[in-house]
Amino acid sequence: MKPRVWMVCTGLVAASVAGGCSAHKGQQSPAHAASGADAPSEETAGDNRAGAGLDDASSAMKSAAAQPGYGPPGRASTDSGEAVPQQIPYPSSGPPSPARTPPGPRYATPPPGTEADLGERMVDDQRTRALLDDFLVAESALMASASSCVDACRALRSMQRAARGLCELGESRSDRQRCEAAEARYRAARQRVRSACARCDGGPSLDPDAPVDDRR
Amino acid sequence: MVRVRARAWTVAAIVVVAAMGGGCDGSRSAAGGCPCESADVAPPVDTVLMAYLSKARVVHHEVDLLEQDDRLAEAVAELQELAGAAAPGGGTLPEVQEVLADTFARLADLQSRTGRYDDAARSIEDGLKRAPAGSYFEGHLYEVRGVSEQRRADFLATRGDVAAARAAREAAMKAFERALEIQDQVVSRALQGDGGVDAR
Repeated sequence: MKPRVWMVCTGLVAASVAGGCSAHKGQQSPAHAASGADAPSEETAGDNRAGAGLDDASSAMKSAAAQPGYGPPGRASTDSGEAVPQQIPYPSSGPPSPARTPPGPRYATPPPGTEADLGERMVDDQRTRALLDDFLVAESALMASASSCVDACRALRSMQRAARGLCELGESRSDRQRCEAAEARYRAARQRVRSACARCDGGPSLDPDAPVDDRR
Repeated sequence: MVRVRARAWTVAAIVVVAAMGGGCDGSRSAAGGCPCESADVAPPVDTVLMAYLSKARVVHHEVDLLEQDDRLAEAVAELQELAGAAAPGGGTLPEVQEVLADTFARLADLQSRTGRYDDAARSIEDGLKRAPAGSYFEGHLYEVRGVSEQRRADFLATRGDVAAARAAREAAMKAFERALEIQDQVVSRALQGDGGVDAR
């Protein structure tokens, strides 16, 4: 089992790296492009699709499964599904055709369901990758959101101090009107913060009934 | 057990490859091989800026301790030294501007507490030159100006200078109103598109 695990991982890494560098698939070295059946994966020149790395990984896994111990060396199949002459089909695919049976040595038969197993793993891997992507996006949003609340609460504290100071200065009726306008502005801002942030650690209180000069 | 390990290795490989792929958009290099080899790596951390920010933090911590001991003159001297020190990028970097604006605000507050109202007014002017427009730091400087003018008004009132005290009080109220206006906008901008999380 272990060699198989290593081959699967190696295939994944190699194919996915190639997927991350998809812009270079059409620029591979002539030796590599000409290698044909010796290529470790079946890259398609100019394939720049998103997620192509996973497709390549799938091909690499198939190739890995075709290595000694799991089948003959060389490619397992082409893109069109045509089997190459050297391939020995798995027992689940029925008895081998005499025309396709190579004269060379036979290899150990892999356990039944290997292809299905690999396919299932690929689905799992795709899900894992999607989950990782979702996690990173959510983490980023969470950090941004927490940072937004910190900034909003800090500005709200400054508003509270300013409104409090302004109201302490009031002497005339005009001054009281300015105080009331300041308090109304502070309360409106507090309501907006309250609707987005559960609370402000370090104050001020987001309780809509809390007085403007509340020092909690 | 082997199956679990195999799955673990597969997941690990995907994580590594995804990380490599994330930093490799395939368009940065036309040279052979993976562009990850020659792509722009993350810019190096600006050690000078980091050192400056660290120093500023230390100074503000020292000022905290001096304030606790009521050694305000020494605290003012510490902040003046920080404000006058050479800053990376000629003081034009946003992080540096914020540090300077905050330092001048604190300096003005301490100066007004020791009765140096004109010095406080100058410190606020210096801070406003550095504070990014419409930022929390600009609003905070107006808030400190309000506090400083309020203290001046109280001082003048005790001396019986009614007219000067009234002028200082009016200046304080205008500064507070300006602070409210700026911080109100800061709140609105901070909450745009926010999902709602406890502030820490």
